[in-house]
Amino acid sequence: MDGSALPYFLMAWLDPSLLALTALGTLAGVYIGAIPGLSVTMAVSILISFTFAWDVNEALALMAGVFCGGVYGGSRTAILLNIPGAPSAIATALDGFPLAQRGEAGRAIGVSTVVSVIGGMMGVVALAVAAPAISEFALMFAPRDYLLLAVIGLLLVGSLSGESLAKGVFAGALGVLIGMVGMDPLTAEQRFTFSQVSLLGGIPYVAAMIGFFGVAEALVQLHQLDAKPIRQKVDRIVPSWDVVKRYIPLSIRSSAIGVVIGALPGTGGDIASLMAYDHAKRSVKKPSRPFGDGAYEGLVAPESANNAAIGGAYIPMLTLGLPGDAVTAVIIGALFIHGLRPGPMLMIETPHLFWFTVGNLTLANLFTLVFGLTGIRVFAKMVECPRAILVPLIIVLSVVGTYAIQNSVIDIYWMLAFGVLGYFMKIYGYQVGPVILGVILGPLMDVSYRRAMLSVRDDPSAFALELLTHPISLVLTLFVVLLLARQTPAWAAVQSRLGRWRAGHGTGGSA
Amino acid sequence: MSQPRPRQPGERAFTLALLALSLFLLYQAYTISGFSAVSSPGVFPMVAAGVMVLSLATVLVRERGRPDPAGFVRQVTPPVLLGSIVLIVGLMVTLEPAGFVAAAGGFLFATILFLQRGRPVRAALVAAVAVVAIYVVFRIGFQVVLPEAGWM
Repeated sequence: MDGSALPYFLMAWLDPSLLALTALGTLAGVYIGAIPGLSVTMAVSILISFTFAWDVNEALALMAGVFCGGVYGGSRTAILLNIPGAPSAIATALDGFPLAQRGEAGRAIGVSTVVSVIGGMMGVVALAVAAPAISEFALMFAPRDYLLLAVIGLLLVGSLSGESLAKGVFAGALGVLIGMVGMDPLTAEQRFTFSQVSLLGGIPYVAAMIGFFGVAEALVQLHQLDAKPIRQKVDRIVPSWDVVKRYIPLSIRSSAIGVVIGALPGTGGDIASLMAYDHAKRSVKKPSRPFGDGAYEGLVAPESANNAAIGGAYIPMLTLGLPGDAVTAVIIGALFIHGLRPGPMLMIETPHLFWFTVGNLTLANLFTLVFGLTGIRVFAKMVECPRAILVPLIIVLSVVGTYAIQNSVIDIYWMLAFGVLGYFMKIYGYQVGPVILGVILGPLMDVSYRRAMLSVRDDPSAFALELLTHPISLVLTLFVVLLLARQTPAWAAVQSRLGRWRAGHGTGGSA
Repeated sequence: MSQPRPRQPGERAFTLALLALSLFLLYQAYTISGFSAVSSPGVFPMVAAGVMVLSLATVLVRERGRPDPAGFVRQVTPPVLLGSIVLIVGLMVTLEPAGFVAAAGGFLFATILFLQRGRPVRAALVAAVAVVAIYVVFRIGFQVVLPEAGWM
């Protein structure tokens, strides 16, 4: 960090209103993340519409707070109620709830708070160190490379976050198509407008986001109207230093996994936490208890990783303009609304925004520590809010939020249509995350592809040759091919043959 | 790590409906600029719609022979869902003519009453507190324009 960066880094720390907004966002995030039925993506989508008239720094301060607090907050209900408050806390429930059943809920919450902050801080350090370098490197990227990166993002999210790649890819492609509606940015030709003037400007993506994440989730929640929360007794939650010290090495390893998974376009905290849990299971030889029976290691790994993934997810967003996960896809939407174009030029044209974000995320992590270790009694009351009240509230906020963007009722119709579609998609095992990634990535892919084609005068063979002859493009192309190959039966056959060979080799070696 | 999702009633019909939509969108994408050039505005929409068709065809092939269980109305579109959607449409329709306070207040009262099957006093109290809180936070705090009734 050079001298000019420090004032920007400290901006959110020294300005009372930014400090208060970050604190407020983090506090709200802890509760939003914890209450099953409310998600960080939903909250950030709705917040875009409420903050678009604000100064961009204030809007970003609030969103960063909600993001950090929300990812952490999901662990609370995973531990106390065995209901992950957020998808990134699914792995946390595996050992967190058994710990609560043993009467160690307070200690489990304390440990998860501390390791979440360790993970979050590692993510921020990774962002501060890696992003400037990646951003400089990204200036060498040609349009075809952006196309390949976006394809990688959609394939990754499609293959890792759902029950089948086909359904994930469908959701991503649907998002791409939603992003195509309106006038073509290069030729002003109409696409999917059906001669409707209201469609010339495209489908408002905030309406799509609120529909898919707000209304769809609220409708799914209607199936669990009668679910009764189980109350847990929570005692002292501040953990002793000896306890924390024991888990720091695993926390750091898991955070590294979180940063890398978060930084891959499309994949976020949910996948990072599952992979870190898997890593802990494989690497920890003597866990405090068997995994699944209340091992603290099974809590430390996912909680470190999902918070580290936040800083990781900001890396492709700020350097390449590619969302690291669904929440950063929504934040990209917020930056667009504020007239900013995330990508390598963002770091050059508005370096203050980058260091402000780094400072702000650091601050949000500190607030997570404060709010995580206090206020547990109020919290226990809040999460018991019945769904019969919660669902109508989500819907009113979604409707008002959508209306606030353009003061248009048509946007609310779009929101409801996407909400109902999202409901059926969720019921039938289609992820809605890839849809939003597709909406953000679609126009970028379209323009990148056509610029790349135009640069070789519409010659497909020259385009294909460029994919193989430029080093960056070649690496990315190979990655795309690898991702596609993994889904074929041939890959499974090769893997099983390799496994048999290894087993045979191992037996031979020991004999 | 997580349990496989049980098959839901109407799953095949939903996939077929999505496939029909995707085929329609593929045709619409074709009408944008046909195959005039590899960098024409219609190419990427055609690719996206084509991917949708192919992925849904893959889903149908992979799930062939797996019958859908019965009980579509009970499990997928229960009365509580349809009733809630009707109430949301009511909120949308009344939002501009009645204004935020009346429309959202009415919606919250009716929906909470419907979802908790009774207890009108609690529903009215929650609706009133929520409308005031949203109005204060968003209209006064966030300076968001909320629809106001013409007669107010």
